Amino acid sequence: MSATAPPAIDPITLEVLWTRLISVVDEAALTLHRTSFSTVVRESHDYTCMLLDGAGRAVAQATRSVPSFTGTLPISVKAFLDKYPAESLRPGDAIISNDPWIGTGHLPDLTAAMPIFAAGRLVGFAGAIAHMPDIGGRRRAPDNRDIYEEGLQVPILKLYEAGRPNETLFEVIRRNVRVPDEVEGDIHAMIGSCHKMRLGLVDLLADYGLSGLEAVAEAIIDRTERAMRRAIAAIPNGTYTVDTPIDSFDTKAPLLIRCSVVVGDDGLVVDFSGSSPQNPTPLNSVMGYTMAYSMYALKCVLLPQVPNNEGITRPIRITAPEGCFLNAAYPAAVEARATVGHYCTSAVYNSLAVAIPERIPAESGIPLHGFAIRGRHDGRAYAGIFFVNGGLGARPDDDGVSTTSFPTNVSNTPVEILERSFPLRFHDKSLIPGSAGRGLFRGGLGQRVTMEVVSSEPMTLVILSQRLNFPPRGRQGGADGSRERVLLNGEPVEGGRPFSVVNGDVFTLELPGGGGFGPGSERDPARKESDVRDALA
Amino acid sequence: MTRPTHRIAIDVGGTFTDIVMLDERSATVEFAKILSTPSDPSRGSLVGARRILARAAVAAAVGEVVHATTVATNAVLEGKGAVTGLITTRGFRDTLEIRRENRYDIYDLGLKVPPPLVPRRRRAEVSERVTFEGEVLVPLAEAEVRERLAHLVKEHGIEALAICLLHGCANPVHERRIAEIAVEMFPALAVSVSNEVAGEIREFERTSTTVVDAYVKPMVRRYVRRLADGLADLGLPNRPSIMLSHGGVGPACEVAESFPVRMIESGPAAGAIAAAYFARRTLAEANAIAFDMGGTTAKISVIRNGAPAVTTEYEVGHVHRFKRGSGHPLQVTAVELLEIGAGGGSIAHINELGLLNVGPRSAGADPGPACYGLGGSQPTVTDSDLVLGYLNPDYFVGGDMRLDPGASRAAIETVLGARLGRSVEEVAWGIHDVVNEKMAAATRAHAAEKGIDLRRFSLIAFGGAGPVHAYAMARKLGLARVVCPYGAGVASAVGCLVATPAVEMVRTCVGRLDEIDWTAVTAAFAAMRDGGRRVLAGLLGAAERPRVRAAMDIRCVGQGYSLTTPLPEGEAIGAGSAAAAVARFRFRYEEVYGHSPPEVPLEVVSLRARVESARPEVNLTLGPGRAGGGPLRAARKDVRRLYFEVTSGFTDTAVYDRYRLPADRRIDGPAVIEERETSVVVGPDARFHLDAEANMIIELQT
Repeated sequence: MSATAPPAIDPITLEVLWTRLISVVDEAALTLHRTSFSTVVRESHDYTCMLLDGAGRAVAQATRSVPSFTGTLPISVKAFLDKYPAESLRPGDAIISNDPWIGTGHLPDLTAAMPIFAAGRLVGFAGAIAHMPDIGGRRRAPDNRDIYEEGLQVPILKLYEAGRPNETLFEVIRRNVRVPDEVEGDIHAMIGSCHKMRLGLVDLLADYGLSGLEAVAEAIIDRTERAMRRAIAAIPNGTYTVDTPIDSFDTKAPLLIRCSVVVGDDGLVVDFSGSSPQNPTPLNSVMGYTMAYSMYALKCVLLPQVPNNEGITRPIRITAPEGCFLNAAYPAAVEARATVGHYCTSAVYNSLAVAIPERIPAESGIPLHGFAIRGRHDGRAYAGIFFVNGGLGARPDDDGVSTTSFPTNVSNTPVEILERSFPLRFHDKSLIPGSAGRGLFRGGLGQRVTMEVVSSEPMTLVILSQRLNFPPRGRQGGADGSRERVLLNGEPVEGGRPFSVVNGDVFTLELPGGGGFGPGSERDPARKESDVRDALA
Repeated sequence: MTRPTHRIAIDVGGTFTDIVMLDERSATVEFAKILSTPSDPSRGSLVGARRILARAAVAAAVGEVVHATTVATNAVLEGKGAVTGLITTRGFRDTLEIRRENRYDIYDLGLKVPPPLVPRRRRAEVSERVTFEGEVLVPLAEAEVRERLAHLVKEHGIEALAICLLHGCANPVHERRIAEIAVEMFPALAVSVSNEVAGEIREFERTSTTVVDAYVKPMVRRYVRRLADGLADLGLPNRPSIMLSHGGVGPACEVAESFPVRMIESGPAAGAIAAAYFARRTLAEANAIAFDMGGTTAKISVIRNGAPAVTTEYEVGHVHRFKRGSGHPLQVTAVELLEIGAGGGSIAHINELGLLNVGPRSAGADPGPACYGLGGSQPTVTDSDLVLGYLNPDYFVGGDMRLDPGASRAAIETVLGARLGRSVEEVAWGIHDVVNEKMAAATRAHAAEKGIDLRRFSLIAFGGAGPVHAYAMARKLGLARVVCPYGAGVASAVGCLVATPAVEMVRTCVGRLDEIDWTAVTAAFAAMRDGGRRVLAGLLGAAERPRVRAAMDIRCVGQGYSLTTPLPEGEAIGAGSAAAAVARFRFRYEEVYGHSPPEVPLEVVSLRARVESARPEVNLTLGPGRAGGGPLRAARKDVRRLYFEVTSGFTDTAVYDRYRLPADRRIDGPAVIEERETSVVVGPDARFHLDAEANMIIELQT
């Protein structure tokens, strides 16, 4: 690295360079999206691409990214650098890992990074994350007790060394997953996208006569940090602590998120001290994932328009005591970390709503809800997971959006495709009237999904459910949204454990509506009337 | 009756209605441009038709009138369609409102989604069920259908009805029966049936398509009838053709009657067809990026092997104009257009990070850029182009409008210069560079999505601002050639003239390629071919046998994205087609993804047939027809100082009059070539010439 400070970049050139950097990453991400095999990557956009500087700081990310991944990739690259210091890296190297503790928080996501060299000098990293079609282990099993049951662990290793593939590692991965061709195809798609970013960055540096990314990175990060500090300064200083209880797999023993948002002159701290200890189920989150979703919640409120980069995170510190379920220690089971981690956005908003009540939407029907099924039918094995979503919380200036994914961003799978893929018949997939929290603005509506098993062989079913006891909260006098309900053949049951269901069994998931905002008595009569006419009230 | 010798094309745009008439004997054309009449767009069309007839022909000599219109898409955008009802399967009334449950912008907590075109109160469920294999599980409750229909019409006053049942394309028997009952009970109702309108799997997208179709049908019907009657009054053929979203033309009356959603992007499709025509005429390899930059937006489309790229994932009625996913999705084949919030009127500003940004906010036409002198005080792209010397203040819109460079400089200085600490010229260049980078970035991402290598492409520039920015865009994208066609100002109307009569048909057909029932496939293709021929009947010559292009959407089992794989033309389709389908799929896959597909079984998703006229390409002589003569100095108007990046400043630059340039003379840049609607900028590292048809070709050093 050069010893002299890089020259400042003017605000016109910087905008042009940054736009180009983002387009380099977008090109790579779109290539990854097109060439991957994994349904989650394609249908749910469960991947990201990012350019980082030589120190592993995020500089530019793909426009369409999963929020958590953009938070964890820089953590991973810094861990890669700890194991393989900069001076040991060669052109053509590619490093991978799925270690939840330095990565995305669970094993199915593979993180890859490739050092980029220009004129013989390390100038940055191309990073990519994608959800693999399989990673071995007992998938979506709520009774997994530790990480060893959850699948193959790939420590930080070089998948390519100076352009040579690590055949041993490829073989180990192939032997440990149920669909080796698809997994290998997706890994190639990721490495391909890293090469695309590498070439794009090298071209850009040549076009602008730059020897490295430092000056650009520094300027982007610095300006973003200053904007973030201004946004934080608009929040009154103070400590805002709110408890957010959530369901565990044993609904009589909820888990507690205690979230303190501390706003001071020198930045903002999110502290999860006082939250429940880690537990012997997959309902645990690693620190990186907890940080990613807390940071995401803050960015949406404080600096939504600025493309994500390291500067967003600089004035913010996120902490949770080690051994707490939001900072679980190895070898905890963590596969359901999304369920836990998604609640971090809710917890942060519940606390922020004390400080800036006029800017924070009511709670949404998060986290992930859905169905994981497997079995045999017509002589073929099947396995699948598909998601459905509750309603979003009301906003300070509008009703919440019905049946929409938050804070992650997963689409549903069309019923016409599900019935073709699995022995299921859907009876109902409709909005639930009255599920939205009332208010000056009401929440988005939840939905009811009812389906019947149509197979002569039994099906193993896991219902990913939450909010059986804790409905999405209303704000500023708005009412809470509805609770979730799970029914098997008409009888309420608890999710969490796998069911064995047979031909003719009917199961229902009723997803919560979002919380309301402001007093219902002040609601615009025209909006009220419209809901009545649509039988939604 | 004498043999018709003329054809007329009318393109109704937001501001102007363009009319072009072709004399097929000489291949020459007449142009006319008049102001559009938004309250009744057919009126402007008829005024224009009358005007052009007065100039050059008798009505009886006109054999065909081809039309492009935004009437359908505007109805959706402005919420002015019919009061529409929806009938669907019990349990699925809310499919239209539940949508796909994802967010199109992950950081926007204020996210808006478009309200459903049919509110819940007008969505009715009926008892019936068909399985994905087409087996009837629950018979249709006809009495219930009658009751629901009566309620929708009498209580809610619906004028249009969409029918979309779960698995309606696996077995349309119930959808058809409901349509029969509806027509029998209420003959005036406009009815759209999902398996006829869309025919593809995915219930939300199919419902959305069917609903949009029904929603625009009464209005489009009335519009086409008025137009046809008006044409008849002028003594013109009363069966106009219409530009369809996929870039072919179809019979307007039949399309309006059966599936008006297919003409939803009529106007933009016509522009892309024109660009493809110019690519075929001017380029050895007809691979091009069509770049149409106007006042508020820039539109990008990809021309490959002389044809515009099409998509089957289309949307209308966006809540966020430039955000994919914020509209009503349509299962129609449409010319693929990427719209970017960047035009001449786009406003430059300093964002929250202190960086210079351009757009998407636009000053529009009123007050417009500061240099218009109509009260605009915000610096725009046009203002920067003026300061950089790219525009002639005395020859804007052919001299109809004077621009005030002082106002541009003042706006740039006041709003931006002081805060950025840069000179007016530096900021003006910055605005030009930032907006170009924004468009280039979008173009690169679009190319990546389509798997194309941009360096093999040329740029075809249209629109008032296109040729001003094309040279710099080409440099950013690493393109070696820019084409500024003659007649670009009426490109969409030209597109109507050169388009081929064609209809696209599609059927869902899911199954492993190696297990597929070829008898059923052959029958499906035959049915689509016959259906297509029926629709086109009026547009084809009596003895003409239309061409049928058959294709299969194929994917690797496990992959979600399929590739439309053309089957060999002119060969019978049957079990013997499997090998060709596999080979062609592999070729397409490598072309798009850059590597061969994995060794996994293949799966067919849909069958597609494009039935089109086999008539030969229309040759237009758009230029003055006398290019090639005069000396270069006669075309040279002036010398002006223009700013270029390669010279890092202002350079003396020759100014030419496009209408006086000789053909086939290679002229070195820097140069600026003025025409009525735009200026063409050529940098010092490029040269240009006019071809025999007066199209301008710029070659860049790469």
